[in-house]
Amino acid sequence: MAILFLPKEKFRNWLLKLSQGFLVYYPTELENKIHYRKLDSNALNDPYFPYDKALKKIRPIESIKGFFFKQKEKVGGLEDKLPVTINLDKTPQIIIGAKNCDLRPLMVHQKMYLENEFGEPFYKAQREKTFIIATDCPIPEQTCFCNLLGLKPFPELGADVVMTVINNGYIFETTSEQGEKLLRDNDHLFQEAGSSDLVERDLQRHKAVAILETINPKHWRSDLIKAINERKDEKFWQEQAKDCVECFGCLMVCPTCFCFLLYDQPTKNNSFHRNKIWDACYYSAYARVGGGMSPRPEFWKRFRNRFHCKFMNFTNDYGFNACSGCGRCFSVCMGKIDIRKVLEKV
Amino acid sequence: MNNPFQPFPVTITNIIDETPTIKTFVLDLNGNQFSFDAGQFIELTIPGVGEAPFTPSSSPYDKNKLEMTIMKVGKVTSALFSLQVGATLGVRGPFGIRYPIELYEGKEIYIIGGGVGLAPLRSLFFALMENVKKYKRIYIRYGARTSQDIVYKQQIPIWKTWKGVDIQQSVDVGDNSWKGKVGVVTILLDDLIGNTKNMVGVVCGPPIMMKFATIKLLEKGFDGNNIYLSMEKNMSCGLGQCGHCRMGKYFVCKDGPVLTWEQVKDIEDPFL
Repeated sequence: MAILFLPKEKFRNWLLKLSQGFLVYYPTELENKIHYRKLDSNALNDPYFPYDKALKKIRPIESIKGFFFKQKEKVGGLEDKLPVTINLDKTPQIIIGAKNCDLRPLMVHQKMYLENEFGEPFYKAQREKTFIIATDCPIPEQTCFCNLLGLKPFPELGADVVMTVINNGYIFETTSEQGEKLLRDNDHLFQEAGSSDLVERDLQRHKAVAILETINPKHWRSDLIKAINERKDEKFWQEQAKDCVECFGCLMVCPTCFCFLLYDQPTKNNSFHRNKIWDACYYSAYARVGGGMSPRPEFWKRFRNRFHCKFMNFTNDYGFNACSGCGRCFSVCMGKIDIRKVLEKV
Repeated sequence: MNNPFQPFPVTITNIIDETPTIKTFVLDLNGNQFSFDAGQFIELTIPGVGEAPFTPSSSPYDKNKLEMTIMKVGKVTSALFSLQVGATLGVRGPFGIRYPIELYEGKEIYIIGGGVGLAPLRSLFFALMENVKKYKRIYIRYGARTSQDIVYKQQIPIWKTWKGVDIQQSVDVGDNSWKGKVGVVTILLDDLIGNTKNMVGVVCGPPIMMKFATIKLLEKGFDGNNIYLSMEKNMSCGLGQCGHCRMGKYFVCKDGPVLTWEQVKDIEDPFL
């Protein structure tokens, strides 16, 4: 597929075109933090809007997981003994600015939900209506560790279009048929990328890879699965978990965590709505059964479970880790527990 | 849309008191398409309260109704116990894999139940009885805490008269009304002899009972591949998606709920 170039001055024009057919979500800086926000007319009509500022930074505070696997979503219920009707919002949307560490989690959810024999129609519907225009991470930060997971600081798999911000514009590479079509619809704005543009992109990418290697020079052991499996002593895990205040923010911001709870809310007599809400294996009630027994009653076992899940069980099942190195878990951690350090010591 | 989270409505048509804390709920499927194999489970919804996993105790060959023998232990079961005949419940499923009963053909089968654990085993028992001649002999070894805690009190004496079946019972704590054996259920396996390597053991009951029954069967020479254990985990979605029932490399709802000892022996505390 062709590699295209969009000059800086035409970028806003292109966003305007996109916003005519789609809801467009864009990384937006709010109180020094980056969040995905709907691109509204204020931003679109402002010729001085700093479109590149947030794009050039690392991943936003929230991952794109919530667009597909919603924090809370109605997925069923009975009303007067009849199944409730659920109207799925099919408005097409575009997410701009997803980083590679938000694309890898899509592969985790692909395995867990979409390739599951029963399927997950709600997740699927959200994925099908969404185009992802992913961007590079030119300057990784101290919390980034995608290199330890074998990932690059620029989009590899899972996007429709890969966009790289360079000095005088944007380089676009389509990575799916839908992405190809998305660009073709406005192809009068684009031109073919020049070789100097591509050299600039390559240099920028090499630089980002080098920064990551400086941040995380020490790679995890190659027999990590075995090491985690054999690390059974309570003392080790107690030590790793000792600063945890059990807020479980790490799991709530995690882009790969896929656990959910089906939670029924009564509406009126004998009627209820069933909600699918995010859940986390750190909660004491998470694995508890009816009689009150739990396979992981002590917190250190629940703490360890996160490592078993992401770096052993999932890895054994699918051949890659259920972690993308985004660093959100320790960015929010009040106890400053660094997942990298735990895995270094294991 | 095929929605795996959506239950279909069923109606309670009868409630049988088994013990002070165990009841059998007979459900009319209201014409909904549903069938299961012995070993599979369903998610039962109490409208407005929540959902919990249970294994049917009726015969998989009985297409008209579904029977669930349930002990009152938590939020969902307490709400269920307050319901009357005519109440509406929700059902999703069936989920999980069935007992591979074709592998049991020509063999002696020990069905070992503890307390309400006999409920899902009754479904297996009925399934085996459909073609009882295919199996060498079916043994039921059933233990309850006291004589008051025995389920299917009216039915067990009838089963004892069936050909090809051998039933023994014990209670942990005896009383004046109990004339049978006293002791934990494994005492009923003490004199088990024969070609145990080729026998099948199917166990369901409280975790501690499952553990000691497994130890006993292994001591007796049973092959770990022939010991079938009902794992009690928090099977929430039933689909292998939500994560709650993860046990080592298994999603118990999808890969179980019945797993063999060979499958779980390397898992830390499989009975917890």
